[in-house]
Amino acid sequence: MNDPLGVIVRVFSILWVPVMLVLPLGIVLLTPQRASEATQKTLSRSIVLALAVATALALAGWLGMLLASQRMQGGALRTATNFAWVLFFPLWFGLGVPALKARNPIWGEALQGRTSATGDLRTASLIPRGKDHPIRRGSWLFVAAVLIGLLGAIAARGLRPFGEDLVGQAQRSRWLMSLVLFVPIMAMTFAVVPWALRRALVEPEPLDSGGSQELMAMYRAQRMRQVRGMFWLLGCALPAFLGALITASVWLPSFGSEWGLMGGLGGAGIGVAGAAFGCWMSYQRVRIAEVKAKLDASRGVGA
Amino acid sequence: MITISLTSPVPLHDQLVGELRRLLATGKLRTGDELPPVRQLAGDLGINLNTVARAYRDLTEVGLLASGRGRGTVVIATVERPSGRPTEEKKRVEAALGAALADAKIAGLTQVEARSMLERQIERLWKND
Repeated sequence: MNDPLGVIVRVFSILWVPVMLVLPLGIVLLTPQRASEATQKTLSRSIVLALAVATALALAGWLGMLLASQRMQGGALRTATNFAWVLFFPLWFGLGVPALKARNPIWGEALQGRTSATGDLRTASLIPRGKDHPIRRGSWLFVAAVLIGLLGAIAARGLRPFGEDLVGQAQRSRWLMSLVLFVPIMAMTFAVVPWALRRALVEPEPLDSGGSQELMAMYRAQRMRQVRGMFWLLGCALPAFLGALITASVWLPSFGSEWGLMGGLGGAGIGVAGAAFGCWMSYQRVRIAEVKAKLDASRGVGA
Repeated sequence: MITISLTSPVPLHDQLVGELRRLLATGKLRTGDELPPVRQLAGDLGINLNTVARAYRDLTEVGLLASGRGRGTVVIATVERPSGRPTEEKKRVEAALGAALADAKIAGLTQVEARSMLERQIERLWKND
């Protein structure tokens, strides 16, 4: 335990689970209550109470497992304890999101980053949004140049001898595997990500009955941010990180476990950044949904 | 901008076609303008993809729109392609006009009010001719 990195990893792994388990309740409690009807308020209180009880039970279960795993030195139990954070998902989607919806009925589907047209009167713009793509061809060329450079660096390792011993053979296998691994990275970057960006551009943007310019501008700003964010995260950061990691592990194979740790931390970092970005986008959609509801209400159109 | 009503007795497809024809007739949609993809418009209006696709197809069949792979759906004319059956076309328009005027009478409008309304619409639609 004298290794500072080891201490950080240990502390992180212990704190990670309770933080994740408390997160849904924390977010719900920090969200203002804006339900106006008594039935909605009662519903909101009931769900928050259920969430609090479920969170307490999850924490108690985790704490019990943690103490038991330390006493019994059980490997499987320790693994289960470390993975107890997955209870975040049922807590968040099962109770957290319904609680948020009950506290803010106007948010509706915007909470999940979606917005569907509602109400009797439906208004839409006739401007094709796909033509308003914020990512230029030059940006893709830059990504392609970086990835081709990394692929070239991996391929160049094959020009040097690997050695005939077992270590050399293992390095040759890793090198070949690295070249193969680049195929899905390229496919994801140049096929899946552009497709996802095009889909993001045509996500529903229902307008108010008056076709407000303010609402259209809000949608456009959010759309541009979302597509740019997706491009930087999925089209640049993720493939560049994976490519760099693979290249580094091919050229400096002696740092095996360090690369693994860096991969884990970097991957988690990108994942957390993606989650934070997704939450931010959902929040912006929620704000747009609120503005639309206000505009419709001012014209006497119910949502 | 197009607006449809889910509570209207007019089918959604007919409303959509009517709205697009109105925009073409009033010059808000011009030759060369590109329409949004079916998925976008259907998503924005919260209606079925097929309803939008059928509306686009109907307007394509009469020569107002054209679709092509990679270029989307484009306005190619603001006047329908002659169907070769002018009498039938006139009958269709007359029936639609008759229905609209009947609607006006049932809604309690006087003859003067209906005439004034009709003239306003004629003025609006033919002002650039």
